[in-house]
Amino acid sequence: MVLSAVCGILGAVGVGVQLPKIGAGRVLGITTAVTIALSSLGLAEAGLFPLPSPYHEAFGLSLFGAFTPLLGGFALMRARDDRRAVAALFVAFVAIVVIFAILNGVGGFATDANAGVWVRILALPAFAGVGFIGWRARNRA
Amino acid sequence: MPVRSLLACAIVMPVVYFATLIVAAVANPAVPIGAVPSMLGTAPAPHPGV
Repeated sequence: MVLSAVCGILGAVGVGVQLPKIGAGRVLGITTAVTIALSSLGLAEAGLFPLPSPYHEAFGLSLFGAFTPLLGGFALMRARDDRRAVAALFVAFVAIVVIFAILNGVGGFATDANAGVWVRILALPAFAGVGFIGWRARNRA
Repeated sequence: MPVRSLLACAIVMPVVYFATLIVAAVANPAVPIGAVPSMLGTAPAPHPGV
């Protein structure tokens, strides 16, 4: 987890540098990068302090990752990227919202026995969004 | 560090995360990855300083 967090932080720097360059705008580019960096710090925190440590999710840093696909989608939209790529990021954001609701008890799907699985399912659109934004930005680097 | 390398790190990040999960699950099959008691409020309350 710490290794992936390091990749995320380095990737955030790249996204923060590259998105403004391709026309996403400085604010959108940097805020997207900040959400990646903060959620990566949360990932490092979770790796360094395994459950049941109270520091596992301290400050809720990972939650910033929920906004990465949304901001990244708007950033790529402003940078006139492929519409399908933008749509994919918005779909990822909706998926994150739905899974987050499930994790908070909606539908009664998440239980003590499977909450960890739901967290990993939540990580799929969130982290895949990071990789996707990195890929789209790298294509134009 | 060139920006392309930095962006490659962003691409690699989810791959590393899920690969690690798979490796951990294979290496420790007895540990249920789904059981996270503290997630739903059944664990002790968080530290007051957190």
